[in-house]
Amino acid sequence: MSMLLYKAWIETRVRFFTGLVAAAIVCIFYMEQHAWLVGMWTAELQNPHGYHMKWMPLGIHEYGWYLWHYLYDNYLQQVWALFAILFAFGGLIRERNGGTVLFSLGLPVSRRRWLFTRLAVALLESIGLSLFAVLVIVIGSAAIHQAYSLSQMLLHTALMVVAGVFMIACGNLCYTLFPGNYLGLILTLVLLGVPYLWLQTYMQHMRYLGRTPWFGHLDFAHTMAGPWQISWSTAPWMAVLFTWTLTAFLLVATVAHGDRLDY
Amino acid sequence: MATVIETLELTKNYGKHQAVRSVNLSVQAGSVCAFLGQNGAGKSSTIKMLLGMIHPTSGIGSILGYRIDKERESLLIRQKVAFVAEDKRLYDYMSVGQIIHFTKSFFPKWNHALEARLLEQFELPPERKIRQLSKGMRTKLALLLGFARGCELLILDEPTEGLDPVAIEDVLQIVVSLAAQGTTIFFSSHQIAEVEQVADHVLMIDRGKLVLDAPMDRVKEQYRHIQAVFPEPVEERDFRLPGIEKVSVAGRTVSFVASHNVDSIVEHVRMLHAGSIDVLPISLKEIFLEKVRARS
Amino acid sequence: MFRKPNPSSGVPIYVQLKEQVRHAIETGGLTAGDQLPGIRSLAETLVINPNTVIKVYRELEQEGVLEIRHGLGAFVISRRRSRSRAEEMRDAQQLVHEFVDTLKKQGLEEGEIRRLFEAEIAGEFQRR
Repeated sequence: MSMLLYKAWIETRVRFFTGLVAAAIVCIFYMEQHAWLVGMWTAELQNPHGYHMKWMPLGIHEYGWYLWHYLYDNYLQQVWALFAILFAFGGLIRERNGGTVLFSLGLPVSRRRWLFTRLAVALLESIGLSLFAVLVIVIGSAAIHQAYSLSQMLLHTALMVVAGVFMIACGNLCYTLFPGNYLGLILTLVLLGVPYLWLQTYMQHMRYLGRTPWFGHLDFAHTMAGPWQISWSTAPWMAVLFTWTLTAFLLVATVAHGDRLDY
Repeated sequence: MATVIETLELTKNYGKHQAVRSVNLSVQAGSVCAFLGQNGAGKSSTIKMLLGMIHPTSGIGSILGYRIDKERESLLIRQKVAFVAEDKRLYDYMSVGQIIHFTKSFFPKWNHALEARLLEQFELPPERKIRQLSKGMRTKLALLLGFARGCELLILDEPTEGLDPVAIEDVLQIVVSLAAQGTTIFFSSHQIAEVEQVADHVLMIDRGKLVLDAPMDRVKEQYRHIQAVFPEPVEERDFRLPGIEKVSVAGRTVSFVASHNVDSIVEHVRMLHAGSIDVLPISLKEIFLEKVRARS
Repeated sequence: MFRKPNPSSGVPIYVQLKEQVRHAIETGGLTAGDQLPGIRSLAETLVINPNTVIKVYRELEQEGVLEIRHGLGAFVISRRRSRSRAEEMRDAQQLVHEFVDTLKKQGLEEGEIRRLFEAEIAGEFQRR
């Protein structure tokens, strides 16, 4: 078992470290920008003819909100989602292109075990990525002398990962269905990424205007972000449950499809 | 004698293409069984079905008593069978040592002595990454990973493809050595000479159908090339006898490939007033060529 | 001592190997009581199927050429005449040399000696 984990790790470790760097860059950038943005918003609010957005007071006074808005509701989440899908890339289908699939399938390892070990490693890497982001934020926030709630940050991290497993499962199913090697990867990223990003942006705008179109329920990014202050009553329990149910279906479909394949 | 591999009407269709047609195999324990066939004749598809990589369209099979089409039993099969595929590519980001360590972890009966011996004999440097190995060295490594598993059955698909003659002889020697220890070897090959050298049972497949399934000794002892010259030109239809596999008429000379019944055939030919009759030995290569060309 | 058999010749490998064993015995390469290589060892050396070696030894045992001693291996049978053809020929040549010498000392010419030998053998045939 450990040999399979080791193999999956070697195959994805470059991606993992790249992801760590990307997450660090995003976090550091927005922490660095904090002072400047706060200054700009303050100036805008004081200016009777400037931009007056409803969330500006929150942004100026609550660093926690600031972190949530830029990182967990937007850019860190996007980086995390991208890399979560990338971590899942691989598997027996890709090995078919590389010529090693018959060696792998000739070992006394079931196709399901191959799949689940690989997904487990992808999940662990995704968790690792999110925890590394927390570490960067902790250090960075200390550097810019800002206070925040560590427990809220961990809750948001947890929510992001817990809802985000859906992305991993979805991406993985796409990989098994699409032909080609890197073509399959690009198609998956486009097929998942475009709706995800579009809905995220559009729904944020809609919510600001107070409107909730029906397809707002499909805004997966919103589920992953949650409210800026999570508590027992405000956590999106139903949405997460629903996501998990979908994820389970996706995994069942992936396993069934994989079992039927002829190599 | 125990039957190690057994199939009953094993069939595989890819859409309309019939790749494997009702194949009935039976491989005995301890034998070295060769599986001959042209490219695309169904060898690899048959082997892949045995190992659970392809699902049969119909028919059943078992290896060491375990069913090939049942997921859980197929896993047990792969614990006891060492398979080396025709495509001998391996995880190229691993080193020689790493992939040995990796493979070893799945086989408790791993033969460490053989691993060490082959590493030296094949001159495989343990630190070298697989992507830096030449094709011949990769083949040897793939074979090492199969031989050292300590399994009672070896299934090899084109084991010596791409190897130089010295390496081929080395590989055949290892095969023979394992056979002497009781391992059953089932291998597919294009190299008829090496098949004749080490196999004691031969199977031939052509366009998905099994056209020969016999012990090597019987094939060598019973198959004959018969050549007869007649005083007058003769017709092919005069020679429809049991045992005659192929007839070619060229004017007054007729050649047959006979699989048995040689004496009756010679008697028949004599009765047709043949001037000269030659009964000659026939090589496995000629038998193979005749078998795959005879069907149209 | 054993050459690799030719797998593609019309003669089955086991027949070729049997011939090689017989030849070895006739030329003195193997003498009475000599042990033949083990099955696995010979199979590995010649790179042939071990079952072929088993068949060869078994058939030669049936033909009275070898004896298989349980647990020990195959041995050349020692009940055969212990002298090989070559040895016999050498002894015969020595006798002929001495006899021709004696006849020469008695004054016979080589041509006369040869005619005597030929007549003897021819007469031998006539009397039969």
